[in-house]
Amino acid sequence: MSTLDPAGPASAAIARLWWLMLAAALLILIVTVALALYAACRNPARRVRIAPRALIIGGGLIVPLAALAALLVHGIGAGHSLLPLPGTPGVYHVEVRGHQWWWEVRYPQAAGEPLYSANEIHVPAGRPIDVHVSAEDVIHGFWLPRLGGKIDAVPGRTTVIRLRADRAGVYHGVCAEFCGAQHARMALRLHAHDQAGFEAHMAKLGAAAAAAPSAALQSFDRLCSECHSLDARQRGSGRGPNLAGLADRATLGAGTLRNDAAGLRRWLAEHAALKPGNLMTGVPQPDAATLDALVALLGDAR
Amino acid sequence: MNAPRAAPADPRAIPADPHAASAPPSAIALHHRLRAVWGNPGGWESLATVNHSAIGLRFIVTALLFFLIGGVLAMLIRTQLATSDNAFAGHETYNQWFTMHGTVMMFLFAIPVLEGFAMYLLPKMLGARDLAYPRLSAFSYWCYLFGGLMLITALATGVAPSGGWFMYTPLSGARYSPGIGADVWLIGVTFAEVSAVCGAVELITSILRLRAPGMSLARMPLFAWYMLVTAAMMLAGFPPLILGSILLEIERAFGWPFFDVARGGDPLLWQHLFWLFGHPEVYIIFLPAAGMVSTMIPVFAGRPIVGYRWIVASVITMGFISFGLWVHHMFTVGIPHLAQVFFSAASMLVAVPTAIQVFAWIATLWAGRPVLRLPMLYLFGFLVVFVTGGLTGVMLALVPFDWQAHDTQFVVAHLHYVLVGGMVFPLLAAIYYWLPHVTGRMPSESLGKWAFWLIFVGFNLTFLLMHLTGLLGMPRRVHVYSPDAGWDWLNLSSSIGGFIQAIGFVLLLLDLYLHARMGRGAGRNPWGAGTLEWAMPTPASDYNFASQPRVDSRQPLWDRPALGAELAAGRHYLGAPATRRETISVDVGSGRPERVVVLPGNSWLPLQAAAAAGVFFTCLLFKLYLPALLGFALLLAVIVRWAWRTGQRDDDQGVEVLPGLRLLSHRAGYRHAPGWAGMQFSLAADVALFGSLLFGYLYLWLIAPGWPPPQWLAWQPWPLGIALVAVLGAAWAAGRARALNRAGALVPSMSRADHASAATSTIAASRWLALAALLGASATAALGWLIAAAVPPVTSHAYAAVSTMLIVYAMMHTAIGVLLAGFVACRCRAGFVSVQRCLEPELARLWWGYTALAVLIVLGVLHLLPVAQ
Repeated sequence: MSTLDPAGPASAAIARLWWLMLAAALLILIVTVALALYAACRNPARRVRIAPRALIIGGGLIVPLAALAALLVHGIGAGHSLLPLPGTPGVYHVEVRGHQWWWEVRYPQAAGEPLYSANEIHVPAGRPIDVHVSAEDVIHGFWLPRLGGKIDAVPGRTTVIRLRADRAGVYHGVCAEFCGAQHARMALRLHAHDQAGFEAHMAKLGAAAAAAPSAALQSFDRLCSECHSLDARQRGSGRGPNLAGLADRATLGAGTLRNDAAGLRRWLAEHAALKPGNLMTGVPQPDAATLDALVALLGDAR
Repeated sequence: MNAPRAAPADPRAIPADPHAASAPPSAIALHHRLRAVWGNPGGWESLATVNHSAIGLRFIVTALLFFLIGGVLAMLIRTQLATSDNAFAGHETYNQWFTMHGTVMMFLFAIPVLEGFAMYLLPKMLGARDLAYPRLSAFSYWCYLFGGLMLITALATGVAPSGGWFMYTPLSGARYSPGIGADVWLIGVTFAEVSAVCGAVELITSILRLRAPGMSLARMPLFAWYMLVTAAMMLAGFPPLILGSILLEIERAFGWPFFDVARGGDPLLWQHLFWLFGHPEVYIIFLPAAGMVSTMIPVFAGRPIVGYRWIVASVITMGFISFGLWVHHMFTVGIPHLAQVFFSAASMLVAVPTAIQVFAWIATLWAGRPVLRLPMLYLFGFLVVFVTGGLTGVMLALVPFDWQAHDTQFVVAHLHYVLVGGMVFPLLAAIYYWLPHVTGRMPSESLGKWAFWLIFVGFNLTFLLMHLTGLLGMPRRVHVYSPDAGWDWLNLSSSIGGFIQAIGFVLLLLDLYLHARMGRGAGRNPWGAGTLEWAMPTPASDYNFASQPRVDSRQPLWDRPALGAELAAGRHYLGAPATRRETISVDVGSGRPERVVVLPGNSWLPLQAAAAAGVFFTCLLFKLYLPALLGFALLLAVIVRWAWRTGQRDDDQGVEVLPGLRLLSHRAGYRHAPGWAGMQFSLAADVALFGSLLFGYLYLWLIAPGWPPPQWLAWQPWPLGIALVAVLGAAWAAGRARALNRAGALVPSMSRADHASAATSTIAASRWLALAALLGASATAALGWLIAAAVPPVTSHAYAAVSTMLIVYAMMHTAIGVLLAGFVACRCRAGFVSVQRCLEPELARLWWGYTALAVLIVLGVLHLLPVAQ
């Protein structure tokens, strides 16, 4: 989660900027405080004579203007290189939509037709990624600290941020803009794969829908399908996360619980206490047998 | 104005030897006579006090109590965050805590405490006896208290707002924040803002007009300059938030869409309006504190401030730049890149005037012979903490870095460095510095030092580490975090630091208590200061100065150490005992004495007006709109009574302020009347409100998604034509009334016949004013007709909602114009207006002039822009 452990060009440029600014700021702080202490504590008779106006013009005008000009020129250059400018070759597009309190993910460039997922984003490593960010309800903040800056998800707008993961790996993210009761439980993850691994993952996600009709699926249809879809090709109502390939995700409830059979069972039974305010209300509590069947069904949803 | 002038107000008219003044009563006798006129009543009656010292202290003490509440909330927040996965508080409770912490500290502590200091100190520093509108100060205090109590009551009953102190829509809208919490914020804060705007009008007029003779602008104490700029910023900066709060409350209560994307609104409009206020707000808090620093440094350096003009120029520059920075709170919302570069550069540029002030302070110490007393220790704390916060501010102004640090604990650390460094440390220094003025006792040096080091070390432990917590990825406003994140040790250390700081504040309170009980006597001017507030015995008398000094330099007390005794003996201006409250008003630039301002005495009207406003706001809160209307009518009734009881029925004969120097009272003519300046500055705030509304209209039009609207304004020539003709007619009639009242005034020494004809023309003026009221009523009705006939259904689209708001703005002005014209017409007939006492027709005309302009603009943008489209 550390911005000081960058894993992509955007975060690396900003981290460099930070270290540079930190050094300059420390220098300015130390000199200023030292001057003030000298002025206040040194015996007036032994003090270096200096024209007061020189202090004001030098310390108040010349030094700050020079430092700020240098910083601004440097910073504008660094900022410009991070923009999602059109015309960059090989950009991969992902769409992310913030909901209270989870992330909807859409892959518009998936082979065949767009695919849907939630809370975890899979991308190819080493390629520029344009994340198109929007919001369903309130303002959220999309942030993967090790890859780059954040961008707000604002209702009615689509904002774009360009990221790149230099190496394959898992990168953690959070919602940065306060978005209500469960703002703290709105984690996301980005998986960067090598090209082959990425294609394999997407192929698997696209195929995840083909579950055979069963009693469990009937229960799912009855209890869950109004909000959730088990088919990555179907957005469904969009009111709840798409559950295709759920078993491949690391957490449940956007970072609330570890995703294993026990966690899944607990989530289904106690989500209202685990993540109070979540919108899974008005659903009848399934009996134990149904719960087992749903856990098995979702645990298999790869 | 051609009102007769008894004597030319020659600045050199003061006798070289003050002893030459006609034999005054003894200092003690004078004191008793002044006490009889200026004294504050005791017991229940003290609620009717209007004196600036009492009101200022009430502001300060109340604000410090709110500070304690905010501090307790901070400790609760730090307790929750001390460990990962902490179950101490649930999300709703925690969200209320941090929302209220920010709200209380910003709106109920920082602004009011500084306003309180300004109210207490400014007249004393400027050599005046009170502020320009004593009753308005009292009204301002009650509004603040009632608004604050509203918020605190909500906190105590568990229904406080929980959407964060900047209340972003749509989270703060009716759908995602049902319940009363957000309404409490919008209404309570607006109530307190009304207080702040009243205070700003009060301070700006007082600084410009009510000074000691001879105190030109260039001789004003720096604190007055800082407060002048601050007050002007408040007039321009608070209206956008007041407007935003009104719009959001209307959207929540009645469903008019302003911020709802589905109906053509835009959540970013709220952010623009909020930060258009919110960023200047930071400087509104910093500048008064910096003014205190600029006051204390020269005293402890033992020499006048270095670079007075540099400081004044940099303060004014800051005031302007601070209105061009607001977008730096919005770098992550997808603003075009070029705009980001502009706001980034402007945000950095503000560091320059700040640096000029810091180096002026250093240069003053360098050139002086500094004495390191207790306040200086706190000033060092200020320097270290504030400069650090300024430097992280420059970092955040750099757009790419902001993309990483925005909305993280880094920003929390930065804003506390700036606000605690820039405001709390100077405030603590100021408390120790001016304490002797209030209590007449000196603070001890030892306990205060302990308190300082605890606060300073605790603060840095809490917030220095928090920068790192943010860089390690911890967002702000999360009530829990995972142990896997690796933030545990940082948060625990921050929490420990927070509690160390809290112990420091407790020690400070103890020190203040002990000091008030057993501090040693301070005597006159205990720090050896050069400014006039120390030219009086401590604790100060209600009247400040038994006679008002003549000022020839920036440090009158250093020039003339015996000044205090001379003033007490009544040897200077207005030293003769009077039976009413009087203070001198001066020419803005030169400080030449011009008038004697007659001030009102203690009054229940302010409390009655604030209570009526409280009924109004509380009814709004509970959506009781009929009783709210009653509350509003009650408020109007009190205001009319208030206005009616002001003024006099006889022409003014002037007051002998010095032997041989006679000045008229402010009631002669209008340009010198505090009421004239007050109306102008109130209109300035009104213009800012109007400008914000027009900004909202154009912003939605140009930027919001979901436009064009399904239906435009319908062409309705009848209501439009009637409104235009009626409003222009009303403005013309008000102008005629003023001209008629002026007509008899051309002769300096008027005969009895002249007086009679002048009285006749005043009566004629009242008829024109009645006509203006009639036309104004027609205009109001026509505008209402326009809303009904031409505007699409108001809840259908943001276009309809914002168009209706524009017409409502126009209607409010015509309606107030009706009241004002009718009121002044009655005043003409009741004998309160004459050729000489001509303020009220002037006010009516000024109001109608602005109203006509505003109505023209409103109708113009409403009708022309759709055509241009």
